[in-house]
Amino acid sequence: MTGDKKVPKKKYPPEMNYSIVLKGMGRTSPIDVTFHLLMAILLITGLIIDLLGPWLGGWLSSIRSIAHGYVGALFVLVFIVYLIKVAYSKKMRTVLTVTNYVDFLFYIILTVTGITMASVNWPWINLVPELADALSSIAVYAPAVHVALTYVWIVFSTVFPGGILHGLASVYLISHLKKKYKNRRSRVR
Amino acid sequence: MERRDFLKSVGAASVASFTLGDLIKMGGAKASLSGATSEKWEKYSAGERTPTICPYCAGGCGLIVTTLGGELVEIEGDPIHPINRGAVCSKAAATFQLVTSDQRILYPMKRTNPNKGKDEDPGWERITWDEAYALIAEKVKDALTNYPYKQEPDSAYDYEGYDYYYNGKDNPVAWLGSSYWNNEECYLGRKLISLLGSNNVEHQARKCHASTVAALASTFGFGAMTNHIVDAKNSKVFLIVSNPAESHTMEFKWVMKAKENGAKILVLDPRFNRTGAKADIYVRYRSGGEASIFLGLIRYVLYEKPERIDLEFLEERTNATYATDGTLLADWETNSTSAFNKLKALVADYTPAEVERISGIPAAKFEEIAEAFTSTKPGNIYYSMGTTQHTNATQTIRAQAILQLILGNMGKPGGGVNALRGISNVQGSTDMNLLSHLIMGYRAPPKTVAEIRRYQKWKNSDVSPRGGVSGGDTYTAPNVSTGRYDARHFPTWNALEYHWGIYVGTWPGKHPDKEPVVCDLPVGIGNPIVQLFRAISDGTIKVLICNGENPAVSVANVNLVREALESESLFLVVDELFETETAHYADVLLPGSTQVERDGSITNTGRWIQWRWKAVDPPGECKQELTYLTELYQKIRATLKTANIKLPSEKYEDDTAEEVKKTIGTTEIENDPETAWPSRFGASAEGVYKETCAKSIEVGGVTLPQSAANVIYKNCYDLALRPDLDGILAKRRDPNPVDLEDDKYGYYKNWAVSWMINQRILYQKGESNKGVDYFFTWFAISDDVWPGYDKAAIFSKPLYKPEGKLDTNPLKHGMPLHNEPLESPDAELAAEYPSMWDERFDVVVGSSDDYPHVLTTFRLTEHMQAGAMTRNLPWLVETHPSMFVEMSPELAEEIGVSSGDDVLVKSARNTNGIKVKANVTDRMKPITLNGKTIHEVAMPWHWGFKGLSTGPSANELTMDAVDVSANIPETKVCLVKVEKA
Amino acid sequence: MEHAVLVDPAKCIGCRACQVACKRWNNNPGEETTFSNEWTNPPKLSYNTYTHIKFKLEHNETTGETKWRFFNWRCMQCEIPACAKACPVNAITKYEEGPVVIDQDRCIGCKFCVSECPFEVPQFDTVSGKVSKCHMCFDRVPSKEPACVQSCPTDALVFGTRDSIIQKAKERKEELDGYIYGDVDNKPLGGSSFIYVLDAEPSVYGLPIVGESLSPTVPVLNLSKWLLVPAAIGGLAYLVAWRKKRMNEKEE
Repeated sequence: MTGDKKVPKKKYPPEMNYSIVLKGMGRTSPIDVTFHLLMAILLITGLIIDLLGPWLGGWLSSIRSIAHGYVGALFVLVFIVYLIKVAYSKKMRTVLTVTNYVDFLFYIILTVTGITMASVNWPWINLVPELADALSSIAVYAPAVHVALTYVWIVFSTVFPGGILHGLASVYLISHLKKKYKNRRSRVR
Repeated sequence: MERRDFLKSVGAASVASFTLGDLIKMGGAKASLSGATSEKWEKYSAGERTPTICPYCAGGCGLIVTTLGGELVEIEGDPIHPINRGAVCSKAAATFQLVTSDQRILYPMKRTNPNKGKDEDPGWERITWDEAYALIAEKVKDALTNYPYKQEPDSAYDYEGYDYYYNGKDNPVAWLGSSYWNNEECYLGRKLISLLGSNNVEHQARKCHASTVAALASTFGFGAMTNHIVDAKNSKVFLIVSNPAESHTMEFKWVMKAKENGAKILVLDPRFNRTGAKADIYVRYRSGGEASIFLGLIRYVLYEKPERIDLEFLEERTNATYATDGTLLADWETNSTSAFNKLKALVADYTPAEVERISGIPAAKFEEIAEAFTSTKPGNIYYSMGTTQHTNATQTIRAQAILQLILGNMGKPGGGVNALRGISNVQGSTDMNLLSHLIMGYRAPPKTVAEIRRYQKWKNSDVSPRGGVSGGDTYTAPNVSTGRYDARHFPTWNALEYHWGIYVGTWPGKHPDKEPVVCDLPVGIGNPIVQLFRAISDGTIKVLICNGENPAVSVANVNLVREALESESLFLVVDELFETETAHYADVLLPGSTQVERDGSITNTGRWIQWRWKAVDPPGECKQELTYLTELYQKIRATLKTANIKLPSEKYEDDTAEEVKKTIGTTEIENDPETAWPSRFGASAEGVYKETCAKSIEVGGVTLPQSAANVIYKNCYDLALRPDLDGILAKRRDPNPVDLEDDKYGYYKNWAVSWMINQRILYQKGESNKGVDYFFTWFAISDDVWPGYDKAAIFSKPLYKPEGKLDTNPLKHGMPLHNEPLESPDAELAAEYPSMWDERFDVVVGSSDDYPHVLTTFRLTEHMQAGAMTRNLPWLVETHPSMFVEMSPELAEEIGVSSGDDVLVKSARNTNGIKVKANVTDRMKPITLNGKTIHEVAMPWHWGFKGLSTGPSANELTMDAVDVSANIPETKVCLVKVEKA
Repeated sequence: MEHAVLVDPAKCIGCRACQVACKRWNNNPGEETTFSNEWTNPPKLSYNTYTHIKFKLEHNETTGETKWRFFNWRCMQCEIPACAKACPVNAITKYEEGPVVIDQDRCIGCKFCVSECPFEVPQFDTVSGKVSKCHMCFDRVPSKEPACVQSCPTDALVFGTRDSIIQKAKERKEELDGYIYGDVDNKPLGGSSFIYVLDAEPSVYGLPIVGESLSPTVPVLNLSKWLLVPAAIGGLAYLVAWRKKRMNEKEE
């Protein structure tokens, strides 16, 4: 998006869909794909639980434990790897904006509160008593922080450009995909 | 049942989707529970209810069993039961798990590993009941082969030939248990072993309240709790030397009720326990100092507060007014030879300072409790093992009884000397006398041939009801004392002759002194529990049938018991719910049934005889005990007959070709053990109940002189009164009072029945619908002087005394005094107050130099006795999962341990010691004794090496010396050394 | 009609009948525990232990007085239950009769209630992935008292209408010169359906002082989803702006 204005006008916008984006990302950075994919799952399942909970109730049990819980645990691991990559890769750091770093902060808090909730009554936490103590002191606030921060992050993402890419690119892609799908359906008819 | 199925959501409407409830909730309104239900509730409300009585302690609490189509749904407290009013303790609450436990034995099994030992695998192999019976019968036959049925005649009598009877003590077959059994089963147990010619029969009662039976019987008449459970509500002050909050929870319910009405609770205990936590005054003392405390209390009243002596009561109802030679003294209050003044002289030395020196209770504190107890009436003494399990236990209980007599607290609501008995039917099993020295209703078995000859004359004296020979030599009592004795015991032998199908007497009976004795009852008393295991070790006893009892945990110095059980010469049969420590040594293991799986009556600590109705079928091949007993004896009898082993009377017939005829009155009858087994009225629990209780039974136009096989139960069957219950008064379930008096004091006379003759407070004068309203003591001063009859005994002759020992001062035998435990922590006290124990067998004794700490044992609410019925229930195991020793922080610091550490506790009987957890707690504190600081530690004794929760047994350390009068071992105190493991 | 249970630790003898009766009625298995020096066992409430007796021993060295307190502990059944308010799936309901019940079918094991309860009552189970707690025997009340109450030998637990229980509590408070916890003197979360009458300060029994209203974390949990509104507006605005920009670009 620099000064080059000689792009052919009619080629815009490019035909985009998830598979193209993911393929592209998959080639350049598999960790990014995983990272974003997991985050999307967590965000969507989290929203389902919080927004549709009263309607779906017990059906969400496995979503909570597997799609949000175990995937969450996986996300924590991937996130750590991601952070290490950021720390060691200059290339990564050059593309990251301030918004991204603020996002990291969000993720870290969400991760810690998530672990805190998961650690309740888990036997393994007793193996690390120091961690258990630290986590139990924030256990009271964990759910509220976890939930509220997610929504704050969504707002943040709509207000700041870095976040927009995360938040709205998906919206666009989905709507685009939907349109294309509709068209195809109409063609079949 | 999966818990998630079980905990079904609130109402069927609530599936996992948005519901009406959510809408209401969102609108801010609250939902209603109407229609809310659970699977449990559905089953519970549709189920069938059956009343039973709790199988654990002797409180006699009612439980309601709910079943649905044969499946057990719930066991809860009976809401209308006068004792527990729907409440339970943790054990009773867990009865459900007792019945449904997956730990239960379901099939008869035999041992395949010939080696017996704690660490040996028995190698159980499943067998059928028939195989089990055959195996047992064969072993009984082997043991009895060559056991002499005829004895050399006594040279004092002039006749040819032999006497025909079995010696009850040397008989190689022995029987144990059980207080967990119903009365009918206990009765049949005693009947079975007697028919085998053995008096080697014992059960739990020996280890818990044998000394009560000896002491209270010799003071009042009956060796039983004088009042009853609910009666606690009438008390104004309690002196508790027990731990009812833990061991008899529902008794404590009523103590708490009285407390609400202003009663004071005084608790004496070496450890601050859950009862102490509710006390107005709690006092710590050193185990073994009990007698000094009560003698001190007697002194306090006699010397410091003479105005509190109930002189009228003493004069009217006790033998305080007599000289010890039997003279009635008009000036007994001042005459120094009166029992009253002898007592006064005896207790003079037990000043508060002396009590402090012996017991460790600070004098001021002692005076505080003395004042609190003696200033208020009616006062109630509760005691149990803390008092009874000592070598001087009979003395201590006598002192308690005398204190209550002086204060006039006897035979009154809210008063009494109340022995809290331990196991659900231990009162009943004691009444049925599964004891080596008694036979039915506290009657003695024949001990000598002389007695049997007198008995034959007694029968001849009144032929028409008693049998005997008309025109034969008749009875005259040799002296007053013997006359009393005979009048008490002979009617029971007479009843047993008919009920058991046996013969007791001489044959042909006309001249008893010139004929051979023919007696089917075993003659001579058997081995009490501690001696019994010694008799196994030395090979005298070869077959032990042990039912619902766990001596491998429960007997003092259990090391010797386990050694005995390992004997090659012993064949051990165990009937149990679980594979207990004793069962681990068994050759044949039989699956018993729980109390909700059978019918029968049980007697609680307050002597209420209540009925249990069968609610569910026993699982697997578990058998009801009544059926087991019935079939076992039939098989044994048949097998013995093949080897020509029979009753002495039958052997006499074989040897002399002369028929020993059995008669009721003058009517000759066909009667043998086969037709009399299991009862004259069939094999049902009701039938056996009738045999033990019916006061009047007519057979062939002859009414038996004393029909009830157990005389003290004689009015518990009354067909005329309750034809709807088939005369079984134990089945009465009417909680409404019969009159104003009943209402006021809470007798509940229409609820079940109690002995004697439904009198709820023993010896109470003028109780409506009265039974026994007088004291009666059986011990004469001399053979011809019987001053104590109809009086309570301030002065009493002891039951018997060991040859020569401490016999120099008769006063000391007739009245209580303090004796140090056999292992005393203080040499000076030991010399001053020498121990008195049965020295006829050896025990290992340690010195206070090697073993400086005092050990006492105790019970927990959550566990039962030897533990089989609680250590197999996860609900109870979770509350106390392991064996521990309570010790003071001071001792812990001295030996360098802290809470939860392993410690070793050693005694002279277990020099390697046992390893247990240290429970360091302020509940224990050092005690100052004779100027020295003594550390006392306390251990629960519930643990053993089998079950879901295992641990060392406290009895691996305890002392097995026994009280001379009662043969009860000194389980409550011994010396140990506690050290860091 | 609202019902309540009066808990009177001064009458409790620590027999743990309530603890076992609760397990029996609810078919909860026994737990594997280890030796506990103070005897409270299981040491904590758990998914399979809805209620237990806490043992508290105090000893005063100078006076030599020992005091051993026993008290029944389980869910307080609050009037405004933080657990219910925090539950994202409405699995927890406060009923007008008193009980606060977790619907096991609806529970998704998110543990929000575990964190939000100021009494640390709800307990998560790793195996089932659900949370449970005492439900005041919702299946028995009000026609039959809760199992623990029925089992109590000394009336340390009494069941009745809330009014009668409060009346009893007040009378008993006079006798004990004590403190009512759950109502009157302290109304945690709007008052509870288990009401303690204590012979000492609540802190002696380890009872936390909890405010009448919910802690701010519960409203945060409940209301934060409204942040989606500004997010949506912002997003919409952005979309509109973006489309406008594109239209402009197209026109060019």
